[in-house]
Amino acid sequence: MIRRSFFTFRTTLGSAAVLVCGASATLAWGPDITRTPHDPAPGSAEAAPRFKPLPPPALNFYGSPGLLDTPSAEMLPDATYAVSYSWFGGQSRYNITFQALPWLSTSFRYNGIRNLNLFGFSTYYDRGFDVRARLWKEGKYLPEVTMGLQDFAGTGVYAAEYFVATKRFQTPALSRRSGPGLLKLSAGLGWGRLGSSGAIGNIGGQRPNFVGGGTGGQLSYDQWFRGDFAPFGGIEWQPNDRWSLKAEYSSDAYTTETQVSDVFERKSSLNFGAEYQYSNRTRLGAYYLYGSEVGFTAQFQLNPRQPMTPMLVPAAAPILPRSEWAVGENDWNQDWPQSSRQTTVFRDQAAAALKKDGLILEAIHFTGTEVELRYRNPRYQSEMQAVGRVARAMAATLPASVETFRITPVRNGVGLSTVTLRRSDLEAQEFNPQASEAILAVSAISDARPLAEDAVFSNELYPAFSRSISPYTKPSYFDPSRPFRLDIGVDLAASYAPAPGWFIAGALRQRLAGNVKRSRESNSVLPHVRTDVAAYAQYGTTLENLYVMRHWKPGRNLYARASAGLFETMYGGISGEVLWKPVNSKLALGVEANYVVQRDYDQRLGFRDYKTFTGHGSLYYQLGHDYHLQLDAGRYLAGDYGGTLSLDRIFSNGWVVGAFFTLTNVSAADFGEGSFDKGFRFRIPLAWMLGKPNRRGYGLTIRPTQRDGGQRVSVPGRLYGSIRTAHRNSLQEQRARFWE
Amino acid sequence: MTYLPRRATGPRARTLFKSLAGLVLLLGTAACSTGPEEARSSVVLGQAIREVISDYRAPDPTPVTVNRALLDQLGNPHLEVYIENRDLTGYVGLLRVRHDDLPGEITTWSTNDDIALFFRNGLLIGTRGLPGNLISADVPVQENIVGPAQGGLRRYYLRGGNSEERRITMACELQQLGRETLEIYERHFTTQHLQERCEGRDPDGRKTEIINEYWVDSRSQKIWKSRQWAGPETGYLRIRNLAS
Repeated sequence: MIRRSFFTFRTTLGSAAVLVCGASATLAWGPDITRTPHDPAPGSAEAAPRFKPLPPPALNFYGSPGLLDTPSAEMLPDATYAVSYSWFGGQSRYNITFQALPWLSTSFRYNGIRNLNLFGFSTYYDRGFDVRARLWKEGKYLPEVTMGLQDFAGTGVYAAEYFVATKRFQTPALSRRSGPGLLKLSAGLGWGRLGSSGAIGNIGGQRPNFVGGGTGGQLSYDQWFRGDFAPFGGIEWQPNDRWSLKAEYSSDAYTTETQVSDVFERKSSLNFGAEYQYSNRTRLGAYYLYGSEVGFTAQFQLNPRQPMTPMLVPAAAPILPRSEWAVGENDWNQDWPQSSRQTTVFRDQAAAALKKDGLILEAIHFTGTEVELRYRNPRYQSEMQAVGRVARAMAATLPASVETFRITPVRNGVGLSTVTLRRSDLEAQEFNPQASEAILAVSAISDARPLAEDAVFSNELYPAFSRSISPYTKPSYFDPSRPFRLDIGVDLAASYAPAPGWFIAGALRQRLAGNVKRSRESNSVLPHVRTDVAAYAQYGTTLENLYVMRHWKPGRNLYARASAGLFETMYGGISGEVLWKPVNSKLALGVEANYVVQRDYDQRLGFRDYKTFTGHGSLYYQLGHDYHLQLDAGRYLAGDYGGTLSLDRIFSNGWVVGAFFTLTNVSAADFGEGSFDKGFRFRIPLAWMLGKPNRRGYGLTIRPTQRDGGQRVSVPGRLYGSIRTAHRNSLQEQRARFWE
Repeated sequence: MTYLPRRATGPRARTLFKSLAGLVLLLGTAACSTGPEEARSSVVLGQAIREVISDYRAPDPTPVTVNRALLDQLGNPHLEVYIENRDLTGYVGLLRVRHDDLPGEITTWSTNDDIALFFRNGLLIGTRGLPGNLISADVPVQENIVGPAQGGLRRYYLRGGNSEERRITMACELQQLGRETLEIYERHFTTQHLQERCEGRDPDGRKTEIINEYWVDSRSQKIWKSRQWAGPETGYLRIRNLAS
């Protein structure tokens, strides 16, 4: 008999869960930071192993590790996603840096230079990309060396290339408590902007001066490492964990800002500053630059592997081995599946047990020794955690004669995979020293086979009606007259699932406030397949979507979808997709075909004249180290032919950081600003922020310019993403979740 | 990249954005959904905000005064657990006792608010419902010897922030520190003090050390008191057996 304590953490000292979660949230954002204590006491928490990394290196004004206006050779911890803002002398820079690999980082920047008064505008806005690669790591005597390309494509207002070396030294402790300090010495050689002051030589003659305008979007490799080069460098001293003092010699003459225009006055090449590590993720700095200006930075460094709030999942009920309760011969009887009264009872008991864990029973099939349970997982990001919970629910509710558990996650009515487990293994391995490894070794992961005809379905699901009322936000970026616009309002969404695999859904949208309708009009010479944003934004009460969709599994390793209706704000039509994805394979292949008609600007039931066929063949491949590659080739919305390459780093906990570009037969001139379609995206899972199991997240796709070339229709219910997460690679990576 | 002209972002725009942010927050807390489909992000976020507010407003629970008379009435064995790094004390009741193919008796203890601890012969082998759970552990136990039976290799398997399994390997030495008498809520126990010192290294090369301590009564086959490490997130637990 299971007896739980009448005492709880909750009744004695408040909600332990909430306190624990609250305490760690303060640890993360509050003043406590991770540190390496000097000579920690034996048996203290400080001396014990640690997973939390030390605060990452400080960033410079361009969002990369460095001093103030110049870089250092340091790399951020792998996978760090750093967002920073810097300001001095009327110049602001918003930077996003992603440490894509331990030795490679990329940055995107949006900047504004106030009072530049050039190229016809008072304030000059621009966007740029950086890439940095570490050439070698710091050794005992050798410094770390990094090569960087700053603002390496397009107009390149901040274009510079550099090699920089950094060596770190321990400095004596200021006090017993603080431990030793750290001194970082950096020195480098820069070209472009970083070779514009105090040049000591020249390679390849005159480098073209920066000129604003043009369509941009092309790599400026003809400029890289060309022209004058100059030395730069500086020191950063961290006397303790919190503070650091920085001084640098900058080789950036700010020619355009100070000589061509009059943004600020450059009186000196020396810059100074102080920074404070407020928390593990937040760092603030104040500076005095170029002998005339004050500046500041705010740096937020998120590490996808370190949740903002540690995940808390309520403990599952323990497994009761059958040897303890199935003692009589009667307990092992195998005739019970013949009684539909019995099977209904077992179905309902299993469904109730699943419900406690936030899972939904779809269908269950009984034989005397084997049971297949199909379930839906609306709660856990990790499918392996759901599988573990289902296995426990089955062990707790099914008769002793059932030895084989077949556990099948279902999404959109389709079985994604089947994990087959022996119940005796489940009973035997719960407390195995290597429990996760042990259960994985005895689980078979296979393609979900068609559900047996005499399976019992849930009596709660089909038909099922869902509805929700929730706010939405719709941003628009980088408009010439205002860099950021936003619409907000309410979505009233409803859906109806008449039978497994069938889904009918619609959403009404009411805008409450916003300014996207003031966006610029399209100047595209292509069909306006995506650039009529302003025209669509004129209407506040709209039908966001209304479609019917069917998912099914036409054969082994095959998945299919057919949809018809209004898919998104701008398009409606018909769409079909087939995906081949073996459970154990890293490779998947898919084809999608759509015939779509552009919707009327008022986004009700009417259409405009523009109709097109768009479709793609897709290849998906899991590269390892969380990297996922996707190649699409086909016809895009504007009738252009070409291909898209996407590379995403998808973490097990739901974080995504990725980038993509599309090349089609549209010329750079016809495409317009940016020359070709490209962008980056990220997604932050809510569970990572809130510390509670949940599948949702907030994400954005950002394109430096939204044009009409290389655009695809957005169809709900695309296959690959949801199927992959229930396949071997993903389940295996998250094996630790099975027992949690 | 290309340049863009500018229009000033005046105070009016800032006020607009502030009120927009306020509106989003308000709508978020009012969002709701029904039915078997997954709730949207804003609905989930709204729920989380509402929970925080109601937790904040909820009155502090009345503290329970623990004394021997109360403990004697319980019938079910209990442990008192103090989580050092949260400065938090709680009580867990014995849920199950079982054996598997490996040496040692496995006990599962749990609270009503879904925190559970697992022990093998009194050595912590798992936590649930805590951050960074200890999924499983390899402990040096032998049949009929309560507490650690010898030194040697110890392995902890933990769940990391990316749902991955992380292993910590330590080399341990077991030491007898002599006899000690304990008092736990008016009861006195004569115990042997055992200390397990374990050394290892973090992936970055930093030397690490943990010290587990046990106060063992070999006659009653009980660990009356212990201080055991439960992983980097949970840290050290101080555990006392409240049995009579």
